Amino acid sequence: MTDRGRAVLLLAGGFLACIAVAAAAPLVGHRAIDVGRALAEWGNPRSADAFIFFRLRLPRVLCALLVGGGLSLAGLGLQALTRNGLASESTLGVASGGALGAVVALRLGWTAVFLGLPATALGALAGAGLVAVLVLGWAGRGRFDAGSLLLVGVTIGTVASAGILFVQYLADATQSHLMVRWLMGGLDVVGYGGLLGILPLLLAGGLLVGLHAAELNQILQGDELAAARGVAVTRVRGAVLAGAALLTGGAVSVAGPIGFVGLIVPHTVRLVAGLDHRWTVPLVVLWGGVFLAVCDTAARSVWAAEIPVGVLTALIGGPFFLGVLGSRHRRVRVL
Amino acid sequence: MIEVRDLAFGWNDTTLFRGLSFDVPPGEALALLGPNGAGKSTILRLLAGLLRPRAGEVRLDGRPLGTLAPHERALRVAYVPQGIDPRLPFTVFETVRMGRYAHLRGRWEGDIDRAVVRRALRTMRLEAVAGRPMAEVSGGERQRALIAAALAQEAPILLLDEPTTALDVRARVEALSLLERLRKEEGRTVVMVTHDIDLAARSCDRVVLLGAPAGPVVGSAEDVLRPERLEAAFGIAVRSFDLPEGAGRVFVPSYSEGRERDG
Repeated sequence: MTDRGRAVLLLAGGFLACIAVAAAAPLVGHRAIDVGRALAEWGNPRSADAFIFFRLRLPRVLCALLVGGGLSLAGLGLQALTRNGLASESTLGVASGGALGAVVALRLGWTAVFLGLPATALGALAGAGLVAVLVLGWAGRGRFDAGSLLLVGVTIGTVASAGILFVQYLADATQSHLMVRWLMGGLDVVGYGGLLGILPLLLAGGLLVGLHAAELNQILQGDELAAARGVAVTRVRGAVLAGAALLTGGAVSVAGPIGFVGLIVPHTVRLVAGLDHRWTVPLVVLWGGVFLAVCDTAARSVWAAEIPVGVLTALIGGPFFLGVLGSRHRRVRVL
Repeated sequence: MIEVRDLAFGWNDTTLFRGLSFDVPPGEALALLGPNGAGKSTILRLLAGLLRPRAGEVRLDGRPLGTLAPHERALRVAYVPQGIDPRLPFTVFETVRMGRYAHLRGRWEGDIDRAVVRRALRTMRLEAVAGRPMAEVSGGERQRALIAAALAQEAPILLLDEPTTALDVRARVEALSLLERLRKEEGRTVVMVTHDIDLAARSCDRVVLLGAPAGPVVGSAEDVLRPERLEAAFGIAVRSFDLPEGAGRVFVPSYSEGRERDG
């Protein structure tokens, strides 16, 4: 079958999987709920079933779909832009900046809520935004060089990690525990406030990356050839970097630093459907969302205590990815 | 029509060349010739709008190159680099198809685009390897794929950086007769960087010879490709011989001189 044939199948499958996950995942959990009653008692504040279904599980599944899709799209864009398969949403340092912002908020004991986002999310957004401005400003001056951008991102990430350790060192035992828990990543949102808070960021970021799919194909062949083919390389690069920063910042602020999604989802999609970003952009959004939603549903239901979803994405995703890589290694499809 | 006026370029404090002026009328071929590091590929990239000149300007059909948007430029000028990173997992077909970007800019290919891509693949004899990754085809096939992508771009001006280096004898002859056909039948303009003096003499109307201490020499191939001028540019004696029956002219460098220098 051709790449295009596989891409079409994967796209149709992705839509169905998204709908199936959104419908089925809220039914799964430690406490069995009666869906009929939950639907009938929608809006009734005293109905436990409706509360679990509409306020706890459904927003959480939707959040996982959005965050997973966003992280995957950020990873896909950055891998093309830097022509480096090891790049991911964490490479720019934006995720680490967000994490530092969140632990600072925890250390200072902020309790503010704005636009439905708790203080940790606001701190994460501020940290991610600061790093994004730094990295974009650096990338925007002089001659751009993908290798240096990666080094700058990794360096900022390391500095932020040191900052996190320092803040943790200053924190008391309770705060420190909260910080460690936040840094493991998790999607324990309640209600739709947080979801609506990050939606504009994810939408804007998604458009900035997704609308440049054809340009990313060209840039993957080299900046010079892309420019010769008629791509406004500098403008596209700025847009995709900004988009990736918005996606990562938005995702990290509600879910913490969930690693690995932005790395393995784009790689798996490319291995199956080829390199054309006009296909891979919608594919990673759909399958990244499905992947994280499935991982998160497993994380909150397979064991008595909730497993941090960041742990599970790597535990499930790692072996799966190695399997995919092994079965198709002859096709020389790895970026 | 390409018009180059008083072009100057250099990196940082060094000046590679200055005061370079020449025209390339439609349907003509111009060769950029000269020693390594003289600025041949740089001139090609200036013509492609990939570099900004330090002084002077390039005009395409009367319009300054700098005022054209990237996609407008790509509709007029197609550029073929010496090579691309062969590890990239695009197939030959995808590589050629991406030559259509300036026409589509993100839209999906239509019937016309598909026909143009098929024709470019056929012209460069790539149909048999179209589905294979660029990493798995030969260097010559990769070079032909890049030329095919430039053909798919359908620009009236073709800029080629050493287009025949990786090609075998047959592919080379075919590529040159293709360029000849594109010029004669479609009126396309060709500018190519080459190290092959014979090729410049045979296939190009005009030559820009770089590297001589007195500065670039511009003129007809006949005028520029003379032994004393080549010696001034390359610093080595070059003799020319006319082949019988008007089959062209070959240039032979003096190998003994090179040996003495190395020794």
